[in-house]
Amino acid sequence: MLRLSSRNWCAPKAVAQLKGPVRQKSARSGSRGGTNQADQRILAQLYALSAHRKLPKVLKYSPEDLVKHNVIHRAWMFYKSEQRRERENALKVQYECMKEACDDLEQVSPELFKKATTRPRTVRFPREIRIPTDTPPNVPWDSSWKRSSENKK
Amino acid sequence: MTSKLFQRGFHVSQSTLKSSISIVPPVHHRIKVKKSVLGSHHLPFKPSDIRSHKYVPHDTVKDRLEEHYYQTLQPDLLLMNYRHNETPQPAAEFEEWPGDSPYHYNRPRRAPKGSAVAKPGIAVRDWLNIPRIEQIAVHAFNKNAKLNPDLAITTSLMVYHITGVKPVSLYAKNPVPLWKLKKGARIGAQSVLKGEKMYQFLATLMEVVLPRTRDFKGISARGGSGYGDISLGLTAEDVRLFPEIEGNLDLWPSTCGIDVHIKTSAQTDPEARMLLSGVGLLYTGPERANSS
Repeated sequence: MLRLSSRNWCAPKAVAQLKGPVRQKSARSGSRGGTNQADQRILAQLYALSAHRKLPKVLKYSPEDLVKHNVIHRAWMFYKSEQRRERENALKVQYECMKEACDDLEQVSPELFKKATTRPRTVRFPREIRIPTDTPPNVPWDSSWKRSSENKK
Repeated sequence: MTSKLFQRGFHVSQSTLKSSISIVPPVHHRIKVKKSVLGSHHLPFKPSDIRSHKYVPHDTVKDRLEEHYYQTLQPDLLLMNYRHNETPQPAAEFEEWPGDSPYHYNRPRRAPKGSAVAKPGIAVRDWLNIPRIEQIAVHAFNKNAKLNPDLAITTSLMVYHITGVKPVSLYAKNPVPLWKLKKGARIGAQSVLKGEKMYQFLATLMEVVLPRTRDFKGISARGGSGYGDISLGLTAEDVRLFPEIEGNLDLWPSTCGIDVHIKTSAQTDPEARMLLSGVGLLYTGPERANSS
């Protein structure tokens, strides 16, 4: 087992700590690498955790490439903000329509309005809901499917 | 700049050529050279600028869960949460004392009625505050790490593999002699997910892990923080169902359970559960009577 201080663990420190006894042992036994398997595993895990050091820090762009990148980036951000605006507008229209419909119903028939606006204790999406995938399933439509009695509640 | 060679020591016995720190001006090496400042990371670029060393590319993949939210869940949630002519509920805050008694001066403010803590109010549900998933915190504590500190590293790597976000180590805040826990011992790891990584983790959890857990019937419908955050726990066995770990089980002789805290922008817990049911999370038991 590696004996390290409780904080500041990193792979190079662990390697440095391993060096002393490891070299003696390898000189005696002649085993390759020297460390036992458990220590090797922990070292590999530490290296995997500190992998950020191996990544390049900054992308090198020429001025021309930088201009191209900025143009594309700004166009993309504009497109996204437009999308967001359209979504919000659609939701606002939906909200106003719901409100208008409820107001109308309240005037026309208070009984129906009461039934329409009574909220059940729990409101859930059906448990058959799935996140859509990019490709269709192997069986696109199961015509024989029926709702189970458990789901009717 | 006067050179030391041409200084003459008429009244001192020590040699003027002695190599030591000069105390007469110009004093050399007084200005510290910060080599760390010389790198490109010191340049005044915003993190969104591609020249910055903090730049992270985003929108690199198509996010099907995010699309599902915007195309299906968001309009449905607006309808499901609609309450006609709703009035906002005021927040419960600490209040000043009336001040009609001399004993009221310098008294700490009065706690709100019916609770010891301040509580946020509930705004009218409209098209601008539809609940959405904001972030997911995944944390793991390894009970065996207090005896075998190596396991804390393994736990960190496990959280890293599952989430794809580099975790922060967690340390024991207080010593607990009964559990043989020392203060400051490294016993776990936590990572906070947002954006793409969050949706990816959630999709894996809902589609791959939870359906295959043994005897899974859903999480309790009575849980939650009270303010729209839902938590669930996975055992060490369930964690082995994550494809990242299941792919090479030989590398993972021991795993530990994880806690998943899903933070949503919902104002109450039932609304948060409603949102998460749209992603495929199942619940058991009835809701609390006074929870909405």
